[in-house]
Amino acid sequence: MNSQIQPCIQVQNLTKKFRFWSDRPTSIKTVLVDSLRGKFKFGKKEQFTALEDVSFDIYPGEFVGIMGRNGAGKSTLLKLITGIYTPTSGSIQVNQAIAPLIELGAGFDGDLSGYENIFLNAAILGLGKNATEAALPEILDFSELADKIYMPVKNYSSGMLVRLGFSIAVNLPSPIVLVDEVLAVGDVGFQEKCIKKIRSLHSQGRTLVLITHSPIAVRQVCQRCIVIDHRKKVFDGAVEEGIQVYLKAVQS
Amino acid sequence: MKISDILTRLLGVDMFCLGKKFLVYNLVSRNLKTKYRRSVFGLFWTLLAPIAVTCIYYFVFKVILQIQVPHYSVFILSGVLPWTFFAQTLGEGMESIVGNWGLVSKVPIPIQVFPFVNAITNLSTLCLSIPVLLGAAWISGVPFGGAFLYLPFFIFALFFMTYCLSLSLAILFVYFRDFRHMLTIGLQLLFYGTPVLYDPIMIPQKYKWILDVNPIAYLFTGMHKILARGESPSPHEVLGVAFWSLVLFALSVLFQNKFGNEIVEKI
Repeated sequence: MNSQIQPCIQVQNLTKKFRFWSDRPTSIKTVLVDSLRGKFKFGKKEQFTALEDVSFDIYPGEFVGIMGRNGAGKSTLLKLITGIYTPTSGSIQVNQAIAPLIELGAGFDGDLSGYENIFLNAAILGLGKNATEAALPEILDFSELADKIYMPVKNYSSGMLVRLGFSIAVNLPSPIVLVDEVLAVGDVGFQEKCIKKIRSLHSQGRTLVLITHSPIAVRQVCQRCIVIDHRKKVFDGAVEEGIQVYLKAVQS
Repeated sequence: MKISDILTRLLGVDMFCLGKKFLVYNLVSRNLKTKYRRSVFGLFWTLLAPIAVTCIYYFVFKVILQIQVPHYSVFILSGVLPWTFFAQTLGEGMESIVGNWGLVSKVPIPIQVFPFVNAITNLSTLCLSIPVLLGAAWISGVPFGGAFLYLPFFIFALFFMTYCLSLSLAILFVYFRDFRHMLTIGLQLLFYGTPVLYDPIMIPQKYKWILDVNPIAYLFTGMHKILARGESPSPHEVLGVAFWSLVLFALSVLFQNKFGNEIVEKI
């Protein structure tokens, strides 16, 4: 990797712990009743480590797959990168705008038409008016919805919904695209189109971070693979090797 | 550096969602569209409810209890409309963060966006009802004059206080769900503790302190003066409104800074 280029995502010694209370009172009534009976407890404070000392850099233009079994800490990592969570210790620095595709069609409103939902969804993903309008023709074309775009989305089939969600997500101009397990949508024809679209992001110099369970998806689009297991980064490197490490971790 | 950036840095939080204008615009227009698209009379209904309530109060207080307040129908309407805004915005705003949990936990959106959007949505309805209010004042023969210039200030203050309060409540509601029941009781108490239906001069001297401890009391006495009497509010009322606005603002900024970041990890 060229040392002249600044990484667009810098993760350093990232640790995330969740603190939670077991048996914590969730209503004021409980607090009052318990303290009257002299039994008031604020609950027991417990800690749970989701990620421990994870470091990696992602450079502009890289397509990185992050793999790990259920509960390994992938989603926590994703939410840390998007800024939904704040790190307990260590640092995470993202130098470009991110389109976080944690869920396709986040915030779609059933009563609004597909067209109106494009703007709503783009705004929710953090885009502005101009960027959305610029991407509009491409989104309409890619979704293959034609006239149905003016229909309320509650009348859409689930296939149509994911097609619209995916079209919005990949056609918005954010330099970093963060994808959580949403590559395989729609029928086979549309899936191939999606993969092709994702690959074309590469030629635009955009960065992709793909979080997935599927070795096939990683093989199809990524050039680098990071494996997270038991809260720690256990592998960072070539795709095929990474997949082997992942498969071993899953089977153990 | 823009003023909005300075403000955000100063407060530690973008209280007015200035960095999220497109998002706010889209969410507000979503709310308005889904609210009115499927009903024939649309906006008419939101106006009808306060007018119906006004008729009921008029009958009870003017006809039966024979309250002595000039232009009493305008007086009630100019209390009921802001009150409806206040109560509705607090109720909906309080549940707005928890209600949008699907979004809050998946997309990085500052949580204050939801109470803010809710307050703006209701404010636009309130603004559309102002012509009705002014029309009623005119028909009733309230003298129009310079006093009406105070109206934008009072309406803005109403919006501002309600938003700040609903943001604080929305954050508390994440931790304590029984605020839902407490709000119902609290609003009932506040409704009668605020001069919505009566004039503050009718309050016995020994209970006058209620006006000073009630954050929204001067807001309503001021509105009554402007709309039902055509009188300018006293400096005491204007300052009272400004004071309580600042207190509620400080409170919500404090809450937001203390809990705003970790709230996503709760629930």
